[in-house]
Amino acid sequence: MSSPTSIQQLAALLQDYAKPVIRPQRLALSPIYDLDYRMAVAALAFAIHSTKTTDGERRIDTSRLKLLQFVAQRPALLPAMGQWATSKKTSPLLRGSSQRLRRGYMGDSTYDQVIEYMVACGIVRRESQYLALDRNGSYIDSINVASGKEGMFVQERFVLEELLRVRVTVAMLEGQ
Amino acid sequence: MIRLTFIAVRGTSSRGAFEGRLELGDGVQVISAQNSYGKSLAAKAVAWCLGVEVMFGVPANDPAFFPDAVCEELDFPDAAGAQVLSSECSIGLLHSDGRSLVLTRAIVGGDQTQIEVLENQENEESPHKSILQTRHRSMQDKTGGFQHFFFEWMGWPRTKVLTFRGDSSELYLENVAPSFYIEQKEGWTALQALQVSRYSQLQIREIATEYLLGALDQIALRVSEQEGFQQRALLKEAADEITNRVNGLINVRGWKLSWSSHGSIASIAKRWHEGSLLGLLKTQANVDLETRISTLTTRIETLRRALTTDPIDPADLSSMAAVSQQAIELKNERHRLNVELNSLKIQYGQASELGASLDARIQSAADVLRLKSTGVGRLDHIECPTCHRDLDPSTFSLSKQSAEEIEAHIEGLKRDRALIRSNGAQISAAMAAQAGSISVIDEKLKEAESTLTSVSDSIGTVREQLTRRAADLSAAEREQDRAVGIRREIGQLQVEIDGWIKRADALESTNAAHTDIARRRAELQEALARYVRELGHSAITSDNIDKLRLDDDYVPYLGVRRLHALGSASDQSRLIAAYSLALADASKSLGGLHPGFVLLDEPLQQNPDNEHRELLFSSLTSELSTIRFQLVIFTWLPKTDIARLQEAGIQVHNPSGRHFLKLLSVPPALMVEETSDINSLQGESSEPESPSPLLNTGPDDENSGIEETEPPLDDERG
Repeated sequence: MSSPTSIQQLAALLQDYAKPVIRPQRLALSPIYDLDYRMAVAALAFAIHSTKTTDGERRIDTSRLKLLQFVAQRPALLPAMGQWATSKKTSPLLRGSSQRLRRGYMGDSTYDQVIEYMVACGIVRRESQYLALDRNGSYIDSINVASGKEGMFVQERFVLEELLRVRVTVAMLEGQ
Repeated sequence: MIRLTFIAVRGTSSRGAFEGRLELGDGVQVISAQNSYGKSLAAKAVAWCLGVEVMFGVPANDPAFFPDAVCEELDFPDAAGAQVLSSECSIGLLHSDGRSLVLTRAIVGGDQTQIEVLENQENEESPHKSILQTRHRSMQDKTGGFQHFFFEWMGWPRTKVLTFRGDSSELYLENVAPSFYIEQKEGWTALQALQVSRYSQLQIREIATEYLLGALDQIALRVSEQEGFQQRALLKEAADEITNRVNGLINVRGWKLSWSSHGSIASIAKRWHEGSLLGLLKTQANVDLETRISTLTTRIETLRRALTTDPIDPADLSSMAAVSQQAIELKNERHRLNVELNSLKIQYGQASELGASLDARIQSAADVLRLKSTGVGRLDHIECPTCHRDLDPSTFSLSKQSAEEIEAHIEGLKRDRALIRSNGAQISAAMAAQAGSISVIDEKLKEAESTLTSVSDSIGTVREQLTRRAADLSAAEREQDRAVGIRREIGQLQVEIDGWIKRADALESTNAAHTDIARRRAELQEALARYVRELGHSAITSDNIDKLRLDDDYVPYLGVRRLHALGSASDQSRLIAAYSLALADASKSLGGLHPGFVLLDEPLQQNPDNEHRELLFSSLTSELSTIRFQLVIFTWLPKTDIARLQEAGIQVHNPSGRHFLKLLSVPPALMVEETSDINSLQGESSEPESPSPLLNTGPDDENSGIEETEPPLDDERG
């Protein structure tokens, strides 16, 4: 009969003495998947980066919003975003972190679902490629004002304000 | 113990002289008078004459806590708006051994930093008069400081306490006064509500209570423990400093040694006890300095012999190759170490980046938690605009997390961050050791290259061998010097470590003293149970009275809850009164240092209803009628109540007139320029001999004991 493997020996030891411990914190999902968080960040991005049309309506390109909120949730990507914006698209620099950034943000399907939800809630409405404020648009201002007053989402706000200095091109929005 | 014999306030106004006086006897003394009579003025005169006005939150020597009546303007029945030109107050104190004091202090128009003291010895006919200072160094000034005199007169020992600043201070009269002087307003808000905190004395409330209970050894132990805490902090700093030096010395050589100052003083001492630095170097870093030095000594002797006396083989061509090989090996070693160091640097950068990312994620998660708990921007009701049904996020493949889930996630992130930080610290230590190893290799490589240059410049095999032997000898001697130097430095550090361990051991062995505080606390607890029940605290019943206890800070608890938090709002004042009385009672039983009188200013003002007045009456006529100390109560009672109390043998002072202060038909003693009978202030008759304190305030008086001192400091008495 062959001798037991290390795994078998370990299994035999654990059978008698091991005590299973459940750590709920290891099972809890990151708040990055939480609807409230995603809506709050999208609202902050809209409040800080939206522009006014000639008739005074505020709106933002939906792809731009997707990129902005993606970076706002990941402050570590801010330098890569700056590099990406200042580099030519054929530059070898693009093969660094900005490549990962592009792949990540293009595949952020949760964002699409969050925007669908916000549209259904009447917070924003779709106008071609843009998102504009809808009947419940006050949500965006209330999040922006209250978070500023309460000192919440300081990092996200900082990143979004820093991104005002980054020239986001159409090519970037297309992931090129 | 002492008691108050009288309280007097007097002065001159634009309408003439005025005076008010209360004579006080033993036991319970109730002063009943209507509002605005001046009861609080009389009560405050006691604090002013004792020089404890700082407990009212005013600067020392500032009479601003007095009512305007004695400071600016008086309204007499026949003379409204009389301007106060001068005023002063006096109190009489009688010691149980027969000695007595009259303390007089100017309020308006005199030197408020001085207290005139008339001291009567039991067997002396004439009183001894002195003018003492209440300003800076009142306790330290042996000749002119009032507190120094008063503590001596009372037979109270002076007690050292520590401050938050780390220096030492003393217990002052104003620290113990809040336990027996309950002022009308703030005094009823908490136990020792008027305790002075701006002196920064550590645990002063507990110390004041222990002092009144006479637990001086407990105070000494407490102060010793506080000093222990401060010494521990200093020892910890010293341990950190030693650790930095040890690690600096070890890392620069590239040795890996586990030497830290983490943990408590005891755990550090235990760890450092386990082995000497040289021993740990041997076991952990495989560095045996003694052996290395002895090996180097042998090698130096061999090399010296080889250079000076040993034969040289002219056919030996190996010198050049050996020296060259040594340099190559060292370069390879340095390259390997550099690669490892670069790898560590990358790991460190990644750990730092990961740590920063975790910080950001924790912050975001905490914000989401706040978002959920505060409801900022929450949409209360969301429905589909077309079908008007509630919108369910799951329809959009989205989910909302609960606050508990986010809290759990934050906890997980914090654990990750702790791990990453620990990892980063280990990488940082490894980098330092690696940099040290590279530095050592660099030194060796420099020597090897120098040897290589010398050997390659030599002509002929004999000279090559001689040059190599000379270079090797020189390198070995330098290496030995370095090893000896390190051993010396380690020896010096070991001496410091041993000294540190000795101090730590000495610190741990103190604090083993035992005191009788348990007995004293039990006495106070027993007295408190009696008084708190007698005064009718609604949370105390006969069923739960045995659960009343005092914690280590002398805070009363009923079971597991603070008594302060139990009962009705009006029970607060009953608790404070009961505590003050219990402290005086327990001190009397224990032979403690309580002065012997308790002053309660308007205890019924907190509970003016009939039920509570009845409770006080029943207490005064039963439990309180037998008290062994003086209890002075300022209040207002209707005539029927006064009669009831008087029938029960309680001394009730029911002064006539609308105000405590009255215009005198003849000028008062202090208006007479030539003489004034100070003894008359004591309610005794004797020959006039002392001039008024307001007219004769000091420096010329031979008994004044005044010394010119620095201006008063507001933050603490000296």
